Amino acid sequence: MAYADPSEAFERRSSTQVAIAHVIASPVIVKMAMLWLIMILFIAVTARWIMPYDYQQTALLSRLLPPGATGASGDFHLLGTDHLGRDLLSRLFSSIQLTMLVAVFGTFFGAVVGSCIGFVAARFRGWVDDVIMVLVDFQASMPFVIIALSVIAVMGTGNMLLFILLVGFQGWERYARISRGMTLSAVNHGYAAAIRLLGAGTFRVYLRHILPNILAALVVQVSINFPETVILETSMSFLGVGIQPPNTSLGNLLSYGRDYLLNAWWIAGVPGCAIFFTTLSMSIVGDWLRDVLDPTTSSGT
Amino acid sequence: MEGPAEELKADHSTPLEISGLTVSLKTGAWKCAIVEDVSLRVRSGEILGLVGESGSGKTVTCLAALGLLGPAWQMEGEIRLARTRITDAPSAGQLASVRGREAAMIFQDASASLNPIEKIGKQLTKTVARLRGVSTGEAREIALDLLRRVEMPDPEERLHSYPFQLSGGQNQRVMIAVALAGRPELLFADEPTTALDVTVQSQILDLIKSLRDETKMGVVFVTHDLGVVKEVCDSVAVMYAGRIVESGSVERIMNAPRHPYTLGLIESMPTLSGHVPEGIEGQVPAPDKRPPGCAFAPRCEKAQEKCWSQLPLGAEGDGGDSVACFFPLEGDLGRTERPEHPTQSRSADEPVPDTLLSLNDAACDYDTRSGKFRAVSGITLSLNEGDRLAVIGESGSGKSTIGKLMLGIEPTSEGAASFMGKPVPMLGTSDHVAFARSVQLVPQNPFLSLDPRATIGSQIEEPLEIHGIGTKQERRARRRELLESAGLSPELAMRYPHEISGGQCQRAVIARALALRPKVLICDEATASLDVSVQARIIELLRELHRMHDLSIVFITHDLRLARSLCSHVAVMRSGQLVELGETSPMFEAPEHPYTSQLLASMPDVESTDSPTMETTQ
Repeated sequence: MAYADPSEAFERRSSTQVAIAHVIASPVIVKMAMLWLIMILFIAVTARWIMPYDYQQTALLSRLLPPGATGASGDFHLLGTDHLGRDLLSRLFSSIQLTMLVAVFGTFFGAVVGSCIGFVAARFRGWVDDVIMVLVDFQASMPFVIIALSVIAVMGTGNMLLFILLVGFQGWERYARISRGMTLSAVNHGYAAAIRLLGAGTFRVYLRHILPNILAALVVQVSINFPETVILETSMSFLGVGIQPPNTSLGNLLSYGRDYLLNAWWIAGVPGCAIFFTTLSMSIVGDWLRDVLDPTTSSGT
Repeated sequence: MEGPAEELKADHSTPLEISGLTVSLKTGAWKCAIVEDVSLRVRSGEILGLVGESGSGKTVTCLAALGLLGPAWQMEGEIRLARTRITDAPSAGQLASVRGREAAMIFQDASASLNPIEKIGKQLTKTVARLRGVSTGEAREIALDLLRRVEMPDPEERLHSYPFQLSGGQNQRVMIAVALAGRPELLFADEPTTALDVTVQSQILDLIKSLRDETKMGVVFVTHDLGVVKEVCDSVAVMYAGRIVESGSVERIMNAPRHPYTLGLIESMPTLSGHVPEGIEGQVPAPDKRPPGCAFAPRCEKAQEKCWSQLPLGAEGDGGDSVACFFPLEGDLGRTERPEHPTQSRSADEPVPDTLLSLNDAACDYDTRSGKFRAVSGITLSLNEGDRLAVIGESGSGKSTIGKLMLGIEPTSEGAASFMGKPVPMLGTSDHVAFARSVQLVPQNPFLSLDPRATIGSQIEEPLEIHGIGTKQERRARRRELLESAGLSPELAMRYPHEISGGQCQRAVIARALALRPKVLICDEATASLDVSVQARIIELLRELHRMHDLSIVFITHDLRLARSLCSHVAVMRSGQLVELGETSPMFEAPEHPYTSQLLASMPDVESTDSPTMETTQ
């Protein structure tokens, strides 16, 4: 029966192999973006050990040195120094670390909370659903910065955990919409209904069956949300209501550099480029992920 | 070939002649023939049935003849319509003159083929004006006349309706009217009645026949339902894996099929007289995995060495008898012995079996925007141990609602649903978990009811896990057992749903439903999305499960033939009411309610005795 079973020629590949094959087949620009993100991630993890100097150490004699200059004490500054003579490379590393910390944890928090809210809306329907959907619409029609600023105004600056949660909350309504919509379509006709009829409880249906099926869409949403979180964090810090000194983030660096744009462009230029390339890379990889994870464009085997 | 290449002498006696047609799909360096070496001919006034299971290339053949294939397709061979020769990559102008005038096409889903935001009248008038080159005023008159000819009720009113305001059958009538607008000599009908209810289907079939008589146009009727073929067609071409394997007059094919595949298809059809369908093992090979010899050899019982290596000469669908088989079957289809009857009447001294599920004067309301909608009312029926109850009805008759009441998915608004004397617990309550061990559902679409991201094996095991039955090893063993009893090989346990065929998916769903050893299996149109040869094997499986495991079955279906071949009792539903309830064979032989007789009369049947309209062909 050599031809009876069309799946005989079918070869099983593990999901890792599939992922590697996808990465190898990706366009050059996607590979470059991934490379950049890997570098940023590496810096974020190892910043404390790879930064050449203490990022808080001032040297008033070596102020506003251009990139590649050697300071008064003989220290080499690859990216120059700022208005207090602090090494810009060290500050950049430290800032990347903090920005990434806020963005990664914030995004993760927002994704989990947003998706759960969507699940709750889909599970209970009725007035719960109505209230949540009104909140979602309310959120979607209002710039999140305004909400973030008012919360900071009430709660005060300097609370790092609050800031991470606040920044991460940005975009929750989109997760909620996605998870609610996809859950509803799964629950009403299909595998979720079938599993419920087998006697399965809510948690089993949602966590073991619906979540894996909508994960791809949520991951794509994360990749869209992540750069927005980075930008929100930097904007808040730029405005002085985000990360507070002595800690430093890319937004802080940018705001210090603002006053010296004409005579020391590198103070704003270097963190600016870091923000730009990171968010751009994230968007490129996100777009590519969406194509790869879309079941209509990939066969799945 | 005579005449100039593009414009042929008008040949009204043969509106379609295809010879040596090969259609391939090409993407990059990959090329795969979907239709291979197909030749067929349709004469004026002839209805040619193009039959075969999904993936056999029926639709592609029709689309090629109208130049409707996209740029990724390549065509070799010759297609001649009444006046035009269709070539590979035909010009837009050439096609515009062909479509609608020489040949037209109607599709399965008529409401999707009509423009949803334009009134019927406007769509028809525009088409008429374009194809006949008349003024809008005249076109309007013709449009009205066309609607009358397709026997549309209130044609004047209907001109001002939108497609969504019409029923499926009415939309199909409009589609046919649009197709007739340019007075084509040939009509391609691609499964035009598959989505319709049986009573509507028989009306549309009658309409197509009477239009054929009236206009003498040729019709290519694509279908998978041999019962429909028997009703309407004059000749038949059977397609398998892209080739025509047998052709001949409808009577010859139905009574004395010569290709084993044709025989398999006929045997797969359930009939109103209770023929137990026998499926064909295996499945149609994918186009890029067709064997070098006869494509049917892997599924053929009679296959010999020659069949595997050599390709039998192609059959031609020209109305004459031909068969592409080295060892064609001889003689009539001997259907003399009646297969064992599904109904065994109970002898009087046997104890009356326990009632499992029952509905007592049950009604069910659905909430809609305009208030409550009563889906079913006053339903009283019961399922005894060992019964196989068919719930029959057309769409909207409330047959699925009965399943939902029995499963506790919907609450009863009046009356009661009970299981073994206790009320059926609602889905989501804690009582329902225990109830789920006794009553299980097999839904219509197996792909939708399996989690696409979990393996078949883990899903079959899942009910055991949910109810905490057995240890991990015991569950593994039970999983193997379940796969086997559903006719699946144990290796499939590691596959994902999209990696196996529709029939295998449905078996997996049945295996999962059986994991908890339920007393009742509720099958809601469980075979409606499957090919006939696969459907027959699922029916076989259900019969076997009934015998071996003492399973009671509620079989919800629109197909009376399936009900007859599987069930001991039948409940006939119509617009939410139970119109007739009783044992299968007495009801099928002498229906009491006129609606039941109407349903029975509308059901196309391969064994029907009234002869198809052969005498109208010249």
